[in-house]
Amino acid sequence: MVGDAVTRWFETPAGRARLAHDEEVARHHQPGLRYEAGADGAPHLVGVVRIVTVSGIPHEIGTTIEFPEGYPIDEPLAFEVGTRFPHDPDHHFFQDTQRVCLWLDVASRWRPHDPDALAEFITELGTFYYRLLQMESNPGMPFPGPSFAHGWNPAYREHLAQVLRMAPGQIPRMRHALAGNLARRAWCPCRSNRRYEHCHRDVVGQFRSRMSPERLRNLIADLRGDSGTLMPS
Amino acid sequence: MPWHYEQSMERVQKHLTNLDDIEVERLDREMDLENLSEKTCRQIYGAHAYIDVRNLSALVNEMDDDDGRRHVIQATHCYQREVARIADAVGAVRVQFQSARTHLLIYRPIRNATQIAGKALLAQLVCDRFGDVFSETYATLPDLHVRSGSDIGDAIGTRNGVQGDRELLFLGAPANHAAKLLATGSDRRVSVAMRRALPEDLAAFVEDDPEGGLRLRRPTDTEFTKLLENYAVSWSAEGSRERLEADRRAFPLSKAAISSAGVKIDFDTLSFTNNKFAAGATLYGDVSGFTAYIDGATTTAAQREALKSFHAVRKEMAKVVADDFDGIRVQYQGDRVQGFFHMPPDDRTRFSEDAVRAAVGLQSSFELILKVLRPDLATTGIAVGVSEGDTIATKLGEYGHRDRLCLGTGVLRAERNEERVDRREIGISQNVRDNVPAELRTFFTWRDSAGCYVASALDQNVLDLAEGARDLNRGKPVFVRSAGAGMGISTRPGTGTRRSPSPSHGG
Repeated sequence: MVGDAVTRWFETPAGRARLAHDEEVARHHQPGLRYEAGADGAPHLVGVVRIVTVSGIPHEIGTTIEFPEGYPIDEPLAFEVGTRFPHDPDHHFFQDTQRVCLWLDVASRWRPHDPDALAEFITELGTFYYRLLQMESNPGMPFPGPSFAHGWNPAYREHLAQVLRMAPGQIPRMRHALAGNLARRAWCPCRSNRRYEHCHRDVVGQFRSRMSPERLRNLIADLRGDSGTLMPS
Repeated sequence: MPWHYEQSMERVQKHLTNLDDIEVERLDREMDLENLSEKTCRQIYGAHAYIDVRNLSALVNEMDDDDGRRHVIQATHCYQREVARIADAVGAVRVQFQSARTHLLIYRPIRNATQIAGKALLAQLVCDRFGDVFSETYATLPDLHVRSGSDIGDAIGTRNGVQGDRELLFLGAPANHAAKLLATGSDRRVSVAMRRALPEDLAAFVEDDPEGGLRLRRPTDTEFTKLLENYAVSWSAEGSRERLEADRRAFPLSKAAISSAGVKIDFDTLSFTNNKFAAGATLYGDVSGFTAYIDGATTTAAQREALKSFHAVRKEMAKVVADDFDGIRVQYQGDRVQGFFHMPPDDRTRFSEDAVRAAVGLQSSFELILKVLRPDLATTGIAVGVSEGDTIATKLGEYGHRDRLCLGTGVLRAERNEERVDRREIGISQNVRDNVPAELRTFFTWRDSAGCYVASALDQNVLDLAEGARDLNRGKPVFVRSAGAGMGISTRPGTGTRRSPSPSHGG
């Protein structure tokens, strides 16, 4: 056996085809972005995202898009390069990094098997920058439009409230259900006077299936009121 | 059509392409200033005098019926005719009538500072006397409040436009400073350079102004008569009174027809016998810092570049007013543009909004386009003033010397607002602020020192993004489209847009 080198995603035939298609997509949607090989030889998209306001005013935002080892199953990561925007939670950047927080992983719009997924990703990124430009232009303005709270657990709680259609304050009642410890025939903790299986079981099940075990564990601990739960990214 | 980045960019690039061969020479011998043009410019040593009737424009609003307004129109026409005669009598060139203000240039004998300054001073003194004659003759009108200011030095003369709509424009410290002297202090003011250049007998009339700077002492009747004799100025109060009376007969009130402006005013059709009265918003946009910039351009090449920038700015300002916001470019006044918005008739909300959005458009063209294409403009910026009120629109003068004129308190207030705000600022009056929609009003805050509401660094980009933020906060979706080398994005659906899923941000 010669070495133990792992074939990286862009080195497989499918990966090469995906990369070639992604290059087309990027060129079409954001010609200011170009592929470059990083230090590790992996392809990155580097350059500027150009967005144009309704009056035709262009804004160019220095950007790098990285593709993780698990690409395209794992979604790309976008970074704002430079110091145009403050990289803080109010602007929805991951804590102390230039990485933009486009969405919660459970609410991700990334569709790994859609050949044009990168186009949608870039559109989301442009929309995100558009909102930051609004903050830049109106100092003191909070992040415009809908957004989840800072930090994973508060954000997941908000998301959960949306999914379960409950007030955030009622969510802790659902912790046993979220932990998978509630019998089908039990009364639903939402106090609907219906059996769990006829009430929230399906949506809770879907939510659980989208959460990583670690994040789910931390969310439940958070709902129990335990400290030391997962910190914001 | 509202202001648009690409459209403005194309226009300015086109202007600049057409301005490649500007010629600037020192005026060292006689030249008919009619021969100046956009590309044929001259550095002219001369005295610039401004004569302003401070209350003429305000009279319009005191005249609450057509008869009263006819009196104002007749008075304005007769006034300007006699001022034009005074200009001829002292050897001055009538540069322009700007509302109730007259800009005179004295440049002959070429580069003879003493004689030039003397003529400018005489023009001021004679116009001052004429104010008395005028007030006596027009007993039905309040006494005219005449102010004047003069400065001397080099300024660049150029001309805009095409046949029928050509204005003589001067750029440089004396032209600018003389106008600024009108803003404060005593009624007759001169610059230090003027005093230095004046002959001894005339310099004796210059004294320190208690409010700062220098002022002209009003000569006694005997002194005045002697001055006119000494300098061979053929003007007398009696003669002036007779000419005024003759003018009144030649321009009777019955012929000063005034009609309300139901359609957009066409200034080319206006005259003493065809005047328009309309509620409207006036805008003044002034390139702040341009005088210093042009004065700093000491080589021919630098002057050529400065003029290229000037003409590009001037043309773009007019395009924003007239093309983007369907207003009327009334006049260019040096590096300043005057616009008027009155459509739809009596719709104060609409024309006030158009004027304010045009002000934002001017800032946008300047900050986002002109400064990018012309980095030499970096030290300049536009100051804009807007106000509204009942306005008379007319056209003064005779063939070849016609000036478009708007009279009214709205015009005065817009000018005052413009003069009191800094570059990159827009000053609007209370009435305009009350008229515009809340989303525009929110950018303006009261400033005591300016006496108006002021918005700083307000351009179309700020408006676009504020509108987007407002819509997003109301839960409106985002629409995207391919836009050349990027992604067009807004909260308004349009051709080729698709709805982007509602945003979902976390973490």
